[in-house]
Amino acid sequence: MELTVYEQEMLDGKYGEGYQLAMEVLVQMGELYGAKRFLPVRNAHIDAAAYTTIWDAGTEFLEFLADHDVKVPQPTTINPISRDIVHWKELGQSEDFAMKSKRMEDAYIKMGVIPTWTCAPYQCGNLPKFGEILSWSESNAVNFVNSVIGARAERLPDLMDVCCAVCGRVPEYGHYITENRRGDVLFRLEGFDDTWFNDMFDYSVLGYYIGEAVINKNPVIDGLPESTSIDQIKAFSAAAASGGAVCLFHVVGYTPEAPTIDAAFQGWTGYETKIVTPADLIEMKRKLDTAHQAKHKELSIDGHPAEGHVDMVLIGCPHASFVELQQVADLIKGRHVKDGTEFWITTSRTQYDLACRAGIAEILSESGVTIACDTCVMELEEGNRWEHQTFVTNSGKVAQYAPGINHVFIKMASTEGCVHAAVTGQFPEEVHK
Amino acid sequence: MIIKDYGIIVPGTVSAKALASDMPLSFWGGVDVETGVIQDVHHDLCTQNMAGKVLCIPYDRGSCSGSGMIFEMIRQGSNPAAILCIEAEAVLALGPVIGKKVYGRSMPIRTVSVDVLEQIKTGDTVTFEEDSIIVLSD
Repeated sequence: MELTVYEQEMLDGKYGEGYQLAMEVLVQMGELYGAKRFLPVRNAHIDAAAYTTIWDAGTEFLEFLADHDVKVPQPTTINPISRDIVHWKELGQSEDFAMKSKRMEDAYIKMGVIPTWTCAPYQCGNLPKFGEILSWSESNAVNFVNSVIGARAERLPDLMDVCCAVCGRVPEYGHYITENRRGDVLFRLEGFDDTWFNDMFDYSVLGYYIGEAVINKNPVIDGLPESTSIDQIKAFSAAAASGGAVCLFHVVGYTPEAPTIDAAFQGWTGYETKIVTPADLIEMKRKLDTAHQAKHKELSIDGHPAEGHVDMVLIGCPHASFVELQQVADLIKGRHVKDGTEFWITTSRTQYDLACRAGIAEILSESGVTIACDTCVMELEEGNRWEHQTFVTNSGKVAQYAPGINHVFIKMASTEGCVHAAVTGQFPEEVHK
Repeated sequence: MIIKDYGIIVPGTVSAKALASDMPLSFWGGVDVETGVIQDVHHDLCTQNMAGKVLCIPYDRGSCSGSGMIFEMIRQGSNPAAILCIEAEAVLALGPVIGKKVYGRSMPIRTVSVDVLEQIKTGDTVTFEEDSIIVLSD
């Protein structure tokens, strides 16, 4: 790679061993992926924040950097950690585990990282500009800012994201390069009536379907309704990055690099067209729903038969926005979560504070909803407190990961269906049959 | 089978039994970091252990945290002996790159075409030589 004077100095150790180590990693990674040079960044978001994602090895790496007085040179936000910094005890976490998280938090704060602890930084004050070069990680967030905003980001691996953030540089590869932002496959939605795409849940299922179909290619989607909201496209983005490794998608007439199909494909006409029908998404949802397997475990809680009984309702993956919190509050106001069922919403402390100001947090809390901030149910201690239980969720990302991490069964539902499940303790009716 | 046409993402030689699937895998959420056992219920290798094996998968997918998982697996010794895939994005390569710097331990990664990868079955012996990959059927 060709380095500037400043980059070469970092590599040579002029600014200390911390920057040197980070730069060594970046040069090696850049060369592996064919980068000729680095691009300077003015905006970073770090993924490697939860103890349950980078463990002791990652913690030691961070402490090495922090102990060598490394500071991030640009505003840098960061992902959820493995605890709610205020209510970790009430949420059942052990002192030992909370302190493992705190070690990492301390290292990041020493490096000057802004402690947002959220996986939706684009709804928490870090909103990039069109075309801006970003050092971002977190699969849902990278996909969102690349696609919905048209900023330039790549799926930086955990710890490489840290190295990029401390050096203020990203290797020029992947989706930083204009040609690599061209659409690869066209997905045309056909046969969907107005009962579809009114809720984040349909977007989650579609996202997972397309992610699994393209893996790491750039899908172009034609046929989503004009009413598609930011939270709905957020759900799509997260699911596409979980079902596959999608880093950039184009929605024709909606995302900024795709005013037309032709623009999405940068004039290229050799693309394949795939038709997506309601039957495809109903089949996809059946695959993600694992709740029917729960009955074989002979679970019975409070006399309920296991099938159809809801142990936990989970909303907020990615972290719920103010608008999502408001939507749930409107649906649940005056009702209460059923005994024997939990209802958790995970969000950032910033959104939570806004919800407090608007009286929304109070409504949720009076209705028996647990609001967990700074963290994620899939990044809490490996206590498996929900083991063998059944989760109802509107998130495709939860449907992908929670069965493996939390050892739970999944039933996907709309936001309204999630609230129904929480107050009745029973599965909601299928929206699409 | 002797393979001459391959790419080297992370260098190194190794010989071990294959653990093979045609499904992509997310290391975060998909693998138990202490044992190397695959825990993704949607994956056909679920409950199989990748530690010490040559993991043959087409791609990784999902979370960017896969790299942190592989780095910790290298620290603990629960990592695969090597990865053989069609495309190795940076999430797979970063763990061995940092592992080599911090702990002096790496994990070779090579890429082959889909036609070659499909011929490798679980239980085959896969050897990364300096100038070839040799696959002996189980």
